Amino acid sequence: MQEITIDWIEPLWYGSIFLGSGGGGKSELLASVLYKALQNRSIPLLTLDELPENNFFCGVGLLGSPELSEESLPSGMEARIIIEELEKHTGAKFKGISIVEGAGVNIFYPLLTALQTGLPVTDGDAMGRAFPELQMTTYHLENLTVTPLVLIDSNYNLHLFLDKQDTFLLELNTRQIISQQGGVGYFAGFPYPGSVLKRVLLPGTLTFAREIGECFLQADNYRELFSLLLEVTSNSFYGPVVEIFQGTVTNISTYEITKWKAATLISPKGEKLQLLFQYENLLAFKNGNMVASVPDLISAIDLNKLKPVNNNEIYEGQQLALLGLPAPLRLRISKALDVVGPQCFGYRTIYVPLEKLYWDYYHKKEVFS
Amino acid sequence: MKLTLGIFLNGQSGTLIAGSGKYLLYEGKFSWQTFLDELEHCLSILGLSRKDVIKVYFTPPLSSSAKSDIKPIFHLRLVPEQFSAFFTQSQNLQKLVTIFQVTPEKLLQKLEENKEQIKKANVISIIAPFGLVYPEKEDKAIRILKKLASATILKSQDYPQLGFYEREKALLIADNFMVTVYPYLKQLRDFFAPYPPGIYWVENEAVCLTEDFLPQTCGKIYEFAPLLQIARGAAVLFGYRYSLALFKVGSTFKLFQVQNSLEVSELSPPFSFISASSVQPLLASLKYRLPENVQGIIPIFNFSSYYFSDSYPYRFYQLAFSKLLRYIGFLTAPAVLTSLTICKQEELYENKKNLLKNLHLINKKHNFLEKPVVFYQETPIRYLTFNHTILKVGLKESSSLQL
Repeated sequence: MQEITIDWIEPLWYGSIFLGSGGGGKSELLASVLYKALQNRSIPLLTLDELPENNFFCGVGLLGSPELSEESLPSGMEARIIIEELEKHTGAKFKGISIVEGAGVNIFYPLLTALQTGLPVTDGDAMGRAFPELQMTTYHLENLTVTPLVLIDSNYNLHLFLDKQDTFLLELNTRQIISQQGGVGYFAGFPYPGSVLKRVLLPGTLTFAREIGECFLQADNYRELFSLLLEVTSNSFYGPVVEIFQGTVTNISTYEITKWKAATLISPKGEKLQLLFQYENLLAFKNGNMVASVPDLISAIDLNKLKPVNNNEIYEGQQLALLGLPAPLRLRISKALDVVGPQCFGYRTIYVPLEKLYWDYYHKKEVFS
Repeated sequence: MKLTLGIFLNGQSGTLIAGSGKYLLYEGKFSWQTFLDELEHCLSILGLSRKDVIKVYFTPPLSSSAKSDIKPIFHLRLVPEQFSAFFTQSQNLQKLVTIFQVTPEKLLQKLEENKEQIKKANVISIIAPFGLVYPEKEDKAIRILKKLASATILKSQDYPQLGFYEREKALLIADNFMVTVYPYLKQLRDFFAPYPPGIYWVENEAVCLTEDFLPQTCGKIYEFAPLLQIARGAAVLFGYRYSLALFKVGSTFKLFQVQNSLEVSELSPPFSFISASSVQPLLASLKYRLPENVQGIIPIFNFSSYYFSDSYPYRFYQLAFSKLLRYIGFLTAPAVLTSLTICKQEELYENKKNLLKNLHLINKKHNFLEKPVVFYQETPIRYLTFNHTILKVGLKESSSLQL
């Protein structure tokens, strides 16, 4: 059994931003709290193989706006309350914490919960990247419900969703509560035994996030960073990373509906790339042709700082490299694309895998070598 | 000659410095009563007139010698019952502030109980977590406070920083500013009338105090302001366009870069940069992503008292903290004009245009920045009953120091 120690935090921080694919949020305050708490402690990390078949785990996470989590920082008390409440209603005694969204701020919150409850955490998650909604998980693919789910808002009001209900509807209900109660809440749900989690979760994603982050710490220049990322991603179930574009942000436009945004990048050669994003980066068009689409990950790297950046950190004049990372295979099947494909975000286009868009790169060049 | 005045305040006394470019021309001590005399003395020694003063800078730390038990700042937190709040301000500030945490429901009763304390305060500030306590409730609290006391009331709605602790920090520093610096501002403006120079607050960059710009930017790097200024001072004094400065704060190393002699930014990573052994790897990785125009030897001003060996392109210069470096770094801080607002997403473009127009007008009126460069940043606030964005628009000086 591995242990998450203080050395994990910084690489995990960069890895969480990269896998956030532009979204997922980041809370330096939360990471700092964890960093301080891990000074002389550690969190047990269980790989999926190590999960006890009959022991129950619960998924915890932050729901709502990661930015607003800094407005009302989790005290840790809420984690105990929601887990105890969930135990009361399920009758199960939880023996561990499972991660639902293995990117952004939702990597750190389960770790904080694990630390406060003394429970181990699973090395795997149900999204493999950042997604904004509850149905966009691998649980959905296995027809497993999110409920029973306990939600606590920033005013410490408990909201119980105990009956089996449609995940889309649950998503709407929880968002409505969150919107009225401070924009951020914490949930405990997905109560499943190890035997189910072994089947459902994407394995090793926490370790993968750390490995991705290590690349950012080790690399001295962009080429080296790309090579390191290529090595790490080629040896994962995601697939080799590909460079989509390098250029300078010339424009960021906002559409009337708040979540629709687009950034325009120009390369030194004069090529133009349009990056469409809402919370996460969703589509990229180079000179009018699609070059990447959700659920594949589109992550931006600040070329001056050589660090991954979130969408709300992009500014005009910034030099960025956009990298594409193939989504795990399970997010690419029809049933998954019904909930995470481009059309789910309101775009009238279909998903085209990176391997098809970069045929030569993936099939002729020996990227796996 | 274009003269910049710098003022350090330390309780009832202070230090007045004056400089032009990289030259420090004057240093003198003053007390509250002798402030104007010292100013007069400074100008007469230098043989300059009031019109030659183009900027007046104030900087942290602000310390006030509260002689009595009555704390001049009354800080009200209007928060929900279970809200987890802690106070992490410096000892210096703790001496000045009474923190009072109350829920909106119990507000009236609690304020009534503490009426005497509120009446005696010089400055009252109020903060509520965004989205959890709505502005109407905050406004109601302000109305009650206004009835109870005649003190200046600063409200958190004017401080658009996202994050309760960040906003509270800014608010408390602004409170302290009101208590400590504000009395001097009036004296300064009267002294320089009818051509008052721009008055600025300097943590890293100099932030104009006209039109209430203080709320927008103060507090973020309050504790590290001296280090940033020393780093800049060393770059200016030794005449390097690009340099690095290494400090040790507690057990943590801090690395800053100074670009164009003046622009200081932090390079040390947020978490694990602790031991001396992490310095060299960080410098090694930095080597490959230096700005394009940086060539040859890069000086590192080492204030950490640890020895590091030179390795190309870095050369370490072992330096000790000195007043002179701080003074020069302080007086040469580049000015910025920044404006923040919280606005609806649909009105973003219009707001951006208006803020920019406004900033240009202020800049022209006060003649702050010669060749301003525009910058802006948007942070959407999601998952509330409304869709708003924090919009930051700013102007900063484009050219480097004219030495």
